[in-house]
Amino acid sequence: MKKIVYFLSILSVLSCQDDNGEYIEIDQPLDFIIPANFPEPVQDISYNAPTQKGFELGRKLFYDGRLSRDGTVSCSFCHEQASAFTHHGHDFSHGVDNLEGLRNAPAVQNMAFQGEYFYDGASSSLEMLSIVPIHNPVEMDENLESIVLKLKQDPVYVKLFSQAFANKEVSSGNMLKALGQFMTMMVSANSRYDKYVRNEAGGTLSTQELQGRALFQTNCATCHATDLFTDNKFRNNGLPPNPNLNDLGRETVTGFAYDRYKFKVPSLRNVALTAPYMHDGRFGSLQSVLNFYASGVQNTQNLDPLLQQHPTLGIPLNQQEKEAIIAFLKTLTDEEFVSNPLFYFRT
Amino acid sequence: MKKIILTLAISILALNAAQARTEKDSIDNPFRRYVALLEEDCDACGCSANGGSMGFSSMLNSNFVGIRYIHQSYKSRDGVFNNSPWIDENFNTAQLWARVPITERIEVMALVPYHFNNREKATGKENIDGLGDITLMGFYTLFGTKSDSATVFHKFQLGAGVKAPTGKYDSANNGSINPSFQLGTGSWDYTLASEYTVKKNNLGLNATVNYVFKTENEKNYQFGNQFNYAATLFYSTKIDNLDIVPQLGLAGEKYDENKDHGEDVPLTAGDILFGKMGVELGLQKFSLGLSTMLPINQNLTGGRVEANYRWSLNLNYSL
Amino acid sequence: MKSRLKNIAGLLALSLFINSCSSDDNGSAPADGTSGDVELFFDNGVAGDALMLGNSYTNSNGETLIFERFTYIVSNFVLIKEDGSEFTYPKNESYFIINEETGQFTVHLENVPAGDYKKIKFGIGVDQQRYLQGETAQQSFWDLAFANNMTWTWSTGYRFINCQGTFTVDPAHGGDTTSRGFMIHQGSNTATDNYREVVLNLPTTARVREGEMPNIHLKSDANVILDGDTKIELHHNLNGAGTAASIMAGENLITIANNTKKMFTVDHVHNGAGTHH
Repeated sequence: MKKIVYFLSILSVLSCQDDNGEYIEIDQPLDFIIPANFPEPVQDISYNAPTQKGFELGRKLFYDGRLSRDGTVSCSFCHEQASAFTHHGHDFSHGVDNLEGLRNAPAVQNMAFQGEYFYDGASSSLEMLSIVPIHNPVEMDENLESIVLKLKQDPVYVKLFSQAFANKEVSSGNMLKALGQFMTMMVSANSRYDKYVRNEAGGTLSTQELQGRALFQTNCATCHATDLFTDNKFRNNGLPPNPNLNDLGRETVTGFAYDRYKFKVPSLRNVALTAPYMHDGRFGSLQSVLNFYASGVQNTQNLDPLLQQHPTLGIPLNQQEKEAIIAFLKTLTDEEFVSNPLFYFRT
Repeated sequence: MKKIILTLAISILALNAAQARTEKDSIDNPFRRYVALLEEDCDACGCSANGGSMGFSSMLNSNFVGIRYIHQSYKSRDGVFNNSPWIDENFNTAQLWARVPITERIEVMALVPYHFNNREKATGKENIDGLGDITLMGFYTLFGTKSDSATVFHKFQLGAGVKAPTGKYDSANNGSINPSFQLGTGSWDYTLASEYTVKKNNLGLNATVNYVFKTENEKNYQFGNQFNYAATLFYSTKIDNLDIVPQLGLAGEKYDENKDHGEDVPLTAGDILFGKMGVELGLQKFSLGLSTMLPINQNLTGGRVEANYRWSLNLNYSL
Repeated sequence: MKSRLKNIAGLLALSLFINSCSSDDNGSAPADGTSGDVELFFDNGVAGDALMLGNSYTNSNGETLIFERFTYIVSNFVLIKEDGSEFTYPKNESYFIINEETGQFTVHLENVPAGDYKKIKFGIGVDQQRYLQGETAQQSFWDLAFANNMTWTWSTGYRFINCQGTFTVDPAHGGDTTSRGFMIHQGSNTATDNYREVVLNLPTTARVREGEMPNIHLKSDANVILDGDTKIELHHNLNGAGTAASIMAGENLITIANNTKKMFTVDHVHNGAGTHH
């Protein structure tokens, strides 16, 4: 994160002068730094390598309600920075016309390290995924062509697009690319836990937190694996299906019965900020999540075998253990990420 | 004697399977001569657009000129599907022909056709008009009964000829289901023919076979070789000065596959068998003929073209 | 007599001579370095009959379908010569949409190297490599696909085949007489790659020459989508409320991908004259 800030500040100073004496900013590439304790990115960064102007454009778009049909719902509406880009306190979000969605807004962070997006893996492309919420009638209810028409009316966008892309066009393709570049740069890897793991200043964990970490590694880290805290797989963790929603999860996308009720394992980074929890936001606190794992797991279709290791389904934990784990999970909060001005845009 | 000879006038049916026509031929002065019908056969498949037709007269030394009108009706499937619509195709021909004896045994025939063909596809009407392929043939009489007083008369002739590519060939028509919608084959084609006629009293039989070798045209399209055969029964009779010769017979055509740049074009081979009947009337130097052909059995262009009927009308003048 | 004979003989000889002069091969061989265009015409049908929107067709599953939309993507065209050598059409230009509703039936390939081609190969849908390149690598095609209802919105990617309409089921096959809607959206998703390629023989050679454009006339058979090697019955694929049949994911798409390998044949090739008749 620091390095990104450093680079960006250097680049913002660079400019060149054309014959008319106007400053023309050169669109400089941005360095994508892989944190030392992270695995390799899953997405190919070079497909849509972030540049300064592309990033700026993507950020502006992310915060722009014009991407929705009635101009009220931007990406940032449901993905708020202060909550690690989730919808604070909302189990479901409301989109245009106050229509309510069926799933909890997931965190937009470390996107380049994921292979598939959304709880059901509807998209595997960082560039393409924005299409889904844009088209969803209960979210933004818009289409790409209309958005482009709106953006073309705005000289600020016209200028940004021409700076960010070689073909200078205000096009849906470029728009998606810009959003993709913005999301690529949203790396969260500077929590207290990270500093601990990387032996950096400020990286100390208390005894309880360390105990929590040990318990986490034994009981949780098979699914919430690596320092990304997810194995990016689709699993059924035994949540009793909500009869009102009957959300089939991964099966919605693949159509296979063996994918029923499987949802993507979310990253637990910044989890203290992203309540409520689960794909439908049914748990308001980490305590209730751990209560569920200890005694609430049900044997629904395709229940993950990892939750069938003990006499009772799930993960047996006593209260003291739960508290230690919760303490540990709180160390995954990355204050820098949620307050980084680079990821904010005042509209 | 002369009357006998006259009554011996043998109708000759030019059979090129496509169109058969019988004509009586008579010894001249004052006998009539009827022009041998020249088949102008619009080969149904791999339409060489008026392939050579054979015709010949049974008697020697017959000269004539004539004009004939032929109408052929087909339908073809305009589309690649089983339920594609069938459209009508009409081939109309007006022909001039003449026959000139060179020696006692040899005669030459020329045939000049002019076509008016039309059809209506889903996309609109299509017309092609113009000169067709000109045919030139030579015949040699191998043997023939010379005696006027014989009871049974025979005649056997061999012929060979050539058809010139004077009719326009348009390769654009080859994409469609019926590649024979043309004015000409665009190629020089060669024919070998043979004909045998036998007559006893008033009743006669005429049988003919011929084979047409077709060559590749400028657009590298070659219509399939064609084999034609026919047999016709005829009866010569007379009322006062009017000769009347009714005819009944069969005619068949068989086509090899067409070739495009030397490659066989699938579903262009075919065969057809017609039943035919007609009549010829003769008065002094003029004769009038009418004939019609109806298909008995056919499988043309892989079943995608069907012949409905053919009829023709001709008027000849013996020289 | 003799002179007449000589005349005839002379005449015949002359005609033969003229003919032999005129039937020389007219430069059939392709000239190196030249190129021409190729046109492919996709003629849509159902089990051998022409496909007409609004018309009903009954398949062997006892289901009678009325098609209201039949659109598909064909891509990655390759022309193959007798010796096996291939010409691959530039990938960026090699994506096309055939749409029965709008009457778009033609694929026009430009600057194909002159030569004699005996087979063609193409894909049904969009290959994963292309799909993963995202919308921007293929902007104009994406826009075209969106305009033709060939993109997904609840998932990301293209619909390879969009086949919609209504259907009824024969009581003997367990149906009632109700007419219900059906939607078949064939495509890939993040779990399954359903893109397939087919190789088709050309019944006669397609000759590409400078200024000569062969027209390859293909037939499609929409019936094989459901009634192909493996059968799919719409009334076994109804939504929860039983009001419509929807096939957009899962095993069905893998089945359709396989069935549709037999969806196309080449009916005939027309050389030289240019456009579809």
